[in-house]
Amino acid sequence: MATTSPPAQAPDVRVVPDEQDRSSSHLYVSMGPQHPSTHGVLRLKARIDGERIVDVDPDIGYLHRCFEKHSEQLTYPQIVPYTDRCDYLAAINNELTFALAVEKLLGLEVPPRAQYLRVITMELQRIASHLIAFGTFAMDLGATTAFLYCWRERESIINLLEEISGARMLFHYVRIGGVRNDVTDDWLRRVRAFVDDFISDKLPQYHRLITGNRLFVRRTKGIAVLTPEDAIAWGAAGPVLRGSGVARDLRKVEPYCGIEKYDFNVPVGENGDVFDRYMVRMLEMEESAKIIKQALEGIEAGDVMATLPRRWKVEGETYVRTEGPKGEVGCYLVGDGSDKPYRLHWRAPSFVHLQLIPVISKGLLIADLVAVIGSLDPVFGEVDR
Amino acid sequence: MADEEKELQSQEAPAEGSRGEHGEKQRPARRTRTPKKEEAPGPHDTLEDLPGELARAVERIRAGLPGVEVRGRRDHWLEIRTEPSRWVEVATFLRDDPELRFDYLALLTGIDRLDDGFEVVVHLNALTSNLRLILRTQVPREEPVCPTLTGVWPGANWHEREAYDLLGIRFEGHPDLRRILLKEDWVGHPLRKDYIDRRPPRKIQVKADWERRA
Repeated sequence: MATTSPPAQAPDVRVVPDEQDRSSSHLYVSMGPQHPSTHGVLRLKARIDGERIVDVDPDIGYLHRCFEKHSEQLTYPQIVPYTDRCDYLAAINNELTFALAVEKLLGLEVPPRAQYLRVITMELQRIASHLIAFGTFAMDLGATTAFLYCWRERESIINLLEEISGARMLFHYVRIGGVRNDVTDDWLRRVRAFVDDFISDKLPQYHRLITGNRLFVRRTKGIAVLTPEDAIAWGAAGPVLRGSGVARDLRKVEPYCGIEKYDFNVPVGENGDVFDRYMVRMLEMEESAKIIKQALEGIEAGDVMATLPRRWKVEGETYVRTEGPKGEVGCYLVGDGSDKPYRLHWRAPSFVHLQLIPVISKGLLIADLVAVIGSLDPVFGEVDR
Repeated sequence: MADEEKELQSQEAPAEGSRGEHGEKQRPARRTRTPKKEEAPGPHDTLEDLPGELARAVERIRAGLPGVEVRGRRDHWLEIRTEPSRWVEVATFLRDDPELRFDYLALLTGIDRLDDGFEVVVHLNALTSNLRLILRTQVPREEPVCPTLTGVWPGANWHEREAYDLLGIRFEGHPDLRRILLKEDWVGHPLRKDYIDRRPPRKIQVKADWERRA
């Protein structure tokens, strides 16, 4: 085998050995990157004093796949499957964000039936993503039954979406100009049946099992409080921001896909602790179900795809953002008049939320750190891209 | 464009059955060029008459920050372009002004503009008034240094680390500027347009079981 020479040292990088303060009793522990409770490949370099955390430094980049660099060499329709893989638990929302950005630059108008289908699949995907947030979060705290409940419901949603798109997780269904294909009336009826059953039967099961559970409440109430000023200053969005009491939902502030027609509430927490962020996600699942029911009633007949240009000349610059289940998913797109982007930057909500871990977890127990990560609900596909 | 069309229309069709000088059949002249469609304005183009609150915001920015160019875009975002020397001053004014109150930093990113250096773009939001603003600056390629915004919005921390990691823009005053997505000892900044991967190729020999035993 040929020997490889080590890469030349970068002149501007100081590789500093980790300073071990041997005079104190602090222990330097690396939690991850392979760890069952870090929700993915996250390495937390924690300095702990006994069981209490003194400082945490998150180390990311283990899932970096150079999405932004690749997208400079791919045509716009070719980028859509890559966006799926950013937040792979909420693929539809990512595709939607990217499609909206390109449609804005091209001036494309999406037909109304496609808007309804986008809304239905987007809210189904939101329920699916919050189910994972609920299931994995509860399991990290020890409630393994909740984990199995989440997959039972998610299996129903995935089966529905597999019928229309062919895939179980990375759907490639929402495309630039509309959606991939039309759905049958029978499918719409089954979505309605699922949503009705979810609201009347399944969600109350979760609340009975987890929400009122004394152990769960003791492990989550008052832990890792994030004040609204901190949340805004650090750029938090989604359930993390709403759990701290700031009523900001991009579906109300900057509506897209006709979502302003639907009547739904925005649940907001009071204290900004782990319990409030969890509760916001549970209530949001109910609101999503409401939106799906309204969309199913109002859906019109028609085309599902706009007429796409023969030659793609995308010029201009835009920043389009949607309310994903994790927060504000943004696509900053700079086009240079050709059929490939000049610069595509993906604003991932989990990336911004991971900055908060050192801010809110000083002085907590290690077990609480697990609750904190679960309540921020990161997905490493979008953190690292 | 209108006179091209008139020119083409004024060429009359030749008489039926007539032949040209080489004996070819005469046909009416075809349009050699389809006329260009009007370029539709994009969302980034300037909007001349701004709606009420955007116009007031522009006035306030012009009053509070003399010499800074501000415009309103068609997609209802304001845009400010400034130099790195005034970066923190402009940012602090935008955050602290009681009527503007841009308290939310949505995005900070960099773009490689080749000969024009690097562009640092910041997207800001005012949560109370729903105003939206883009703040841009340009730093030269040979010395890509820009002051940090972590003192104004702490949320800029990891965004600036990523811009440093992938593009090489150094942020002066950043509390912890080091690579975030790539390994600490990586050489180069991959998102630059002139980045070449200089890692030596790995030669891995895959042998089947029977080949190894022989």
